[in-house]
This record gives sequence, structure tokens and C-alpha cells, in this order.
Amino acid sequence: MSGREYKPSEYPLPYVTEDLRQWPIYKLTEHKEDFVSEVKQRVKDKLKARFGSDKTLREELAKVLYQERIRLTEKPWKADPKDERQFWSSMKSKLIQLEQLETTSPINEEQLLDEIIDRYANEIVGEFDLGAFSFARAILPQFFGRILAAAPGKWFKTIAGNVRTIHEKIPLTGDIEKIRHLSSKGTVIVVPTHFSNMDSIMVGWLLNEMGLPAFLYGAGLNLFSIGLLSYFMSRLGAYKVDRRKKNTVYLETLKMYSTVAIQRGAHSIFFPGGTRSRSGHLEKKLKLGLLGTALETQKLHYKNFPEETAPKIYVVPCIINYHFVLEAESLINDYLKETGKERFYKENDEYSTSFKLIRFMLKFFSASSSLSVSFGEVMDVLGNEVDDEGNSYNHLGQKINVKNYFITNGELKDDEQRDAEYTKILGERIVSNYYRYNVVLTSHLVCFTMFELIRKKYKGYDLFTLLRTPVEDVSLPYAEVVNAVSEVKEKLKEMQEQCEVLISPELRWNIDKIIEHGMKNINLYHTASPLTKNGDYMGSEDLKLLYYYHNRLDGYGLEKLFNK
Amino acid sequence: MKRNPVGVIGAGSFGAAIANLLAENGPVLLYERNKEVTELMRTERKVRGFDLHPNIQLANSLEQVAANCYLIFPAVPSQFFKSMIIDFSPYLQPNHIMIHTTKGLHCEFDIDKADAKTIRLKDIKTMSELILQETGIVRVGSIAGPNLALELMDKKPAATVVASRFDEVIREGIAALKSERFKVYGTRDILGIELTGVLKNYVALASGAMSGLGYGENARAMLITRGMAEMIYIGHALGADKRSFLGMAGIGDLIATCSSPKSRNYTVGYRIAKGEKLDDILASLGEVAEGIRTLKIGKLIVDHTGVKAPLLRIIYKVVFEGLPMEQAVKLLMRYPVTADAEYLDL
Repeated sequence: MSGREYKPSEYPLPYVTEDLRQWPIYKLTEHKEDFVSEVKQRVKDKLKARFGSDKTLREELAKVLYQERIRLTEKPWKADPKDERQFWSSMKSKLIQLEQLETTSPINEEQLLDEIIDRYANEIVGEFDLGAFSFARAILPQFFGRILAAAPGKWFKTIAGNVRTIHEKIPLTGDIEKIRHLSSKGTVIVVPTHFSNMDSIMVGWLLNEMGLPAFLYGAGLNLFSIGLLSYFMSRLGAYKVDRRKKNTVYLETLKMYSTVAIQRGAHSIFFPGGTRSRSGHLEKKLKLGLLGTALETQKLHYKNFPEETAPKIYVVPCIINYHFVLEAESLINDYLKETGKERFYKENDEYSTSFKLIRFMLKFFSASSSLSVSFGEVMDVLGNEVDDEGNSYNHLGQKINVKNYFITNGELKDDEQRDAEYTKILGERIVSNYYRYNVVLTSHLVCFTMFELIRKKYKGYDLFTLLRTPVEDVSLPYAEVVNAVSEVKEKLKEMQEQCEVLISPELRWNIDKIIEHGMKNINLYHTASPLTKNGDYMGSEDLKLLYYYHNRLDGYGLEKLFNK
Repeated sequence: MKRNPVGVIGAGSFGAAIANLLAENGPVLLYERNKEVTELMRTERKVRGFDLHPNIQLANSLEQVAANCYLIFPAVPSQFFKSMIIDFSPYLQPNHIMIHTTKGLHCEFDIDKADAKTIRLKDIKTMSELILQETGIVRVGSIAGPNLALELMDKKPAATVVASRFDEVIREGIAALKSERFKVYGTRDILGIELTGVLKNYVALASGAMSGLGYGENARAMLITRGMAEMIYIGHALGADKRSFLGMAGIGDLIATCSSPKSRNYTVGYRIAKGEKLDDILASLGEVAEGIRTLKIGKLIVDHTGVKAPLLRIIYKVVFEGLPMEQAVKLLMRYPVTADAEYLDL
């Protein structure tokens, strides 16, 4: 692909598969019992094979129980089942029994493992309910439509009118026809960037508007404590992911759930960054565990089917660009607090009631004039580009057979270390897509430029000192900002030519208008405005937020423009 | 089970040696682009004066190697590597595993005309990077170690290291190569292994030159030790860890090439010290001495990155700018000392 520009895609589109009962996710629910028992059995087999002897298994179980006890005392959530404590203390006494009685015990380690896996699998499982889906499909456009139509007068427009408004407000770019076509030939895995709790709802809804069958996705367990949201999510293909649980047994169960679902053809959404980006940066490091299930499943398909009929798995990066992120303040505070101190972030429970969530969405949609979503290249599980028919081509344009990656000496071989390396390669290609298909919005451009100018002005300050600078001191002549924005914009245009980034259509405007548009959009939500303009000067009321939005364009080497 | 032959590309002295080693464990398919050499191997079953192992068959084309072998060892000098791999590329698929044996670097620019200030380090590539860039192969490895080709041909014991980010490639490499007289180690640090194999070339050249002056073993030991330190610094600037420099392919290979008149790089240094002209030496050698290329590329790297590397800079002057070797030794002896073994803290 050479030189390009941003091109919005036309949507909504009719369903690729009209009959909802033919959707893979529907079939998954139809055979739910069979599906869940396959998950349980396979993860049991896998872990038993890995931990082998009773003693190693017992040690592993002790680890699980220990981690679970800590979770229960330190991070209890509303979404936790009522009998959680009871279950784990009974597990604990059984394990103690085992340790004391050794051979005479009526239970053994494997049974304990089975019980834990059963519990985890039953917690994770979601379903797809035709009734709930039809209801959501009928009601959501109105709901979105109303809150999206910023002018109060539009609230009472016809449904059709409102629908048009939503799609105008959320421009989409990417090869949508290819994604649609391949969804009927194989299994599609969409891997979006993650900035907000809105992401999964947004992506799920957009994929629906693109006419694709419903996608399976993992949603944070904390979101399931919100009554209304929980009702729909658990019926619309969401399975529960508890990020507090980091023990092997849980992670393996989760991965197996995803593997078996993909193997059964369920299109899925993975957030490969794991949690929301705290700093506002585009994800650079991905969590490869869940991503690895895509590769694993592809390998299983090659094992189970003859080469010509083996279903193929397609990975599609997706970049969501908000002018502002609702959780920005708490995210960047988390980031700054935790930088360098702790590896794992605390999962905040910011939106704990339906009311809070709806208020939050209302504010979001009524405020935002636009956000932008773009899809990257459609790739195979190694990150090679695929054509419209699903054939893979390497970086040299040579047609390749994906099965060959798993073949050594003529035979398809299992090799965890090799597959982990392959997944790293896929991860690198996804990250590269994030950068190359990121759509630069006016607010990103202005925030980036402002922050870099401030950084230049206070050269020698470290980040934390800089962020604590009194906002009154931070003002820059408007003319200086205009010049710098113009320079960054020109560089971005060049980069778009080189396929290194995409720029939104608004960036074609003159600089005054760009700055105005960026300011208007970003300031609509936050109480302290990240960008302010006072006569001939520009400033900021919240440097942390400004830094957060600036980070969106970090990693492109644009800061070099300020060090001349 | 009928075993697939292992492919070897290039019947230079190292290619021939590795083909003979591999042949002890099973069939080998050897391709050499020079038709005369191939013809000689076909009719006389001789290569570089040694017998060709009966398990070795000769291939007519790269295509034939790709079609019959999944494990392939290219043994082609770095200056010809790119054109070879481009010719090879159309026949290769991700089921091929390639373990190269070339101790050299490729540059995407003309090394004789390049300006150290404006070069980009990413345009200097190891052979494994070149394979990844020019083919659809992903499972790539490299071998390096104290492996003087003539000694291998003579069936004398030796050891080597197979490096790859894939354990599978390491296992395949070990299985194909190991024998009662050839010990094979493994590591995931492929960049370290490749760089140490390359950088030792100019130290070997310096060692030959020292011998040419008639200096003894004390001087050589000093050279080897500080040469290794310098290699670690240059490797570090290119992103490699010091670990591999202290292993079989680092210090191991360094001792072998710096001590043996059988090493080409050593020979070049020796004859320079004896007052011969570089062009004459290279012409009479007939084969490529990677050390000369390494010196040129190494000079660009140290100039670009600012690594001190006194040995490289002075030897460069000896080879290309006519600095007398005696003068060079004086300069090196006068160079300020560091703490001993300070590179371990890097």
C-alpha cells in the first residue's frame, strides 16, 4: 500500500447472515452444555498433564488458594457470588485434609482441581439470547440516537432520522467489505485498542452495524454488577473476565474458554492491551496470553481438518479514537501514582450503578461531536496480510500457506515456545497497525502540540515537576501555538503519505479552525479544561489531562520537531 | 524412517566442513553456485582437497534444495549472502528452518563510500536479519564457535553454539550437527552469537599481525582479553548482551582464530605485518577474508556510535592507511588502562 488518505466507509450495512440462528454465537449457546463441558474437560486434561504428580498439583492448588484468599480479603467486589468465601474455605479445609491424611483421604488433588475449574468455567460462561438481542437491536438505535442528537429538538425525530445521526457521528474507516466477506469464510477476531469502558459496547455495536454476526467478548467482572448492563451483556455474548484472578488455573480456564469458542467458529473481540491504557498512550506491549488462543485454534484447525477445508482465523486490529475519554482523570492519576512502583493496576470500580453509567453515556454522547473508529489490515494469526479470499501473503507479497508455520520435518508439531514466539510476532504487527491506522483528531493534535511546547518552555523539569507547575504559569502566545500546530500537522500529512498514520478530515481545515474544533471537543466534558484560550494566549487548567491526551500522539517521533 | 536430507548452500571451506559434519548423521544435499567446483565434486568426490562424505549429494539448483530439505544451512560469505537469499526466496515457505553459518554483516549501503555520520544502524544487518527480511522464513538460527574449517575437515574435536529465538531450531540444529567429536551448545541470544562471530574477525587479524612481528604469547593473551572487551562494547552499542561474548562463540572462537595460522583473518594480519600489500594478499588468498569487511563496517559503527574501540581504530589504520605495525603496537601500549575486567559491569 502506498500513499493514502482517510476515507470514511459507508455503513450501516445489512447482515451478512440474515438468519440469526445460523450465527456461530447462537450455535454456541444452543449447545452451551456441551460447549462448557468441553472447556472444562480440556482444561482439566491440560493442567493434569502439566502438573503431573499429586505433589506438584497440590503445591499448585495451595498457590491458587493462597492467591484467592488474598483477593477475597483485599479486593472484594459487589459482583462476587455470595458463597465465594464459603467455597474457598471449604477448598482450604479439603486441601489441609489431603496434606494430613495423604493416602487415606477419600478425596484427591485431581478432584479439587476439577471443582475449582468447574467453578471458574461456570462463572466465565456467557450466552447469546435471541430475545435480548432483538430487544437490544430495536431499542439501542433509539437510545443512542436520542443521546447522540445533541440539539434537543432532534430528540423527537423519527427512528430513521436518528439512526442516520449516529452513523454520521461515528465515522468508520477500513476495509469493511473484506471483513464482512471473510466473516462468512472463517472466524474473525477483532483486537481493539482499549481506552474506555465504553470500548466493548462501542465495538460490539459497530460490528453489528457493519452487518456482522454478534461477537463473543470478555468483559470485566466488575461491569456485571451494574444491573441493566449485566442483563444485556451476559445475554449478548459477553463472558466474564476477572482481572483480579491471576492464578494459573483461572487463566488457563479463561484461555480454554476462548479457544474452544473460536474453534467452534465464534467471532471474538480481544482487548490485547489487557486493561485500559492508563497513560493515554496507544498500546505498545500486548498481553499475549489470550491472543495466543487465536494461534492455538488455527493450529487445531489444521490438525482436525484437511488442508483445503481447515477454517481460517482472521485478526483485525481496531483503533477507537475519542476526542475525550470519560475516565481520563482517574486513569492518568492511576498512571502517575503507579509509575515505576507497581506492576499491576488496581481495577477501579468507577461505574457501579446503572444510573451512573447512563449519566456517563448521556454526557458522552451529547457532548461529543465525533469520535472515530478505524480498522487496520486483516491478517492471519502470524500477522501476515490476507487478501479478499483469505489467502495469506508475507511482507514480500509471496503467497504463503499458514499451515507451514506449524510444520517441522513434514509433520504438524506442537511447540509451546515456538507458538509463544509466533504470538509475539502477531503482537508486533498489531501494535504497528495501531500506530499506522490511528486517526489523528483535532483535539489530539492540539493537546500534543501544547504539551510539547510547555515541556520545551520548562526544559530541565522532570515530568512530575512539570505536571505540578501552577497552571497560571503555563500560558503560551497563541501565535506560537498556531505555528507549532501547523508544523506538526504538516509532518503528520507527510507521515500519512508514508502510511505511518491517518489524519481525520478536519485536519484539512485552517489552523484556527483546527484549534477551535479541538478545544471545543475536548473541553465539553472535563470540568477543568485541558485547553484554554484567553485573548492572545493559550493555556491549560489541568496539565495531567493535557499530558494524557498528548500521549495519544507519543511514539511517532513528533517530539523531535520541538527540539530543533 | 527415511530422513529428509539437510541442505547446505555453498561449498567454500566452511560449507564443505559443515556438510561433511552433517553427513555423518544423515543425507545432505549440497549446492554450490560455481559450476567448476560442483563438477569437481561430482567427478572426483573431492572438496577443498578433502574427501566428500558419501552421504552428500549435489544439488543442481536452490529450488531443488528448497523442495527436498526443511533444514538448511547457508554457508555463503556475507558479501554474496543477499543475492543468494533473494534467489532462494521464491522457493522458501515458513516450514523451512534456516541456520546460517556466516560470520559477517550485510550493509544496505556501499561500505566504501558511506559516511559514518549519516549511516543508520538499522541498515547494518546480521545474516539472520537478512533472511527474515528477504524470505518468508521465520524459524532462523545461527551457528558460531571455535570451528576452524580445516580442523573440522580433519575430524578433530570441536564445539559450536546454535542460536535462535526458537528452541525448536536449536533442537533441530543440535540433532543435525552433534557427534562424538562435535559438541553443540544452544542459546536464544542470536544477536549476541552473530555479533561475536563477526567482531572476532578483526581481533584475529590483529593477532596475526602481532605474530608477524614475532611477538609472543603474552602479547597475544593481552590482545585476546582486551579484544574481547572491545567486542563487548561494540556489541553493546548494537543492542547485544555480553553473555554470548563470554561463551563458546565469543571467547572460545576468539582463542581459536587468534592462535591459529589456519585462520584466514590471522593469515592476512600476519602477512601485512611482514610488509606485504593488502591487495596482493587478498589476490593470493583466493577466498574471502571476512576480517577486512568487518574492519570497514566496524569502523563505521564505532565512528557512528562513538564507542572508543582503540584496537579496531588502530588496526584499521594499519590495514588501510599504511600505519606501520610497530607504531600501532606503541599506540596501543600507551592507551590508558581501565580497571581490569570492567566490562563485566556493563
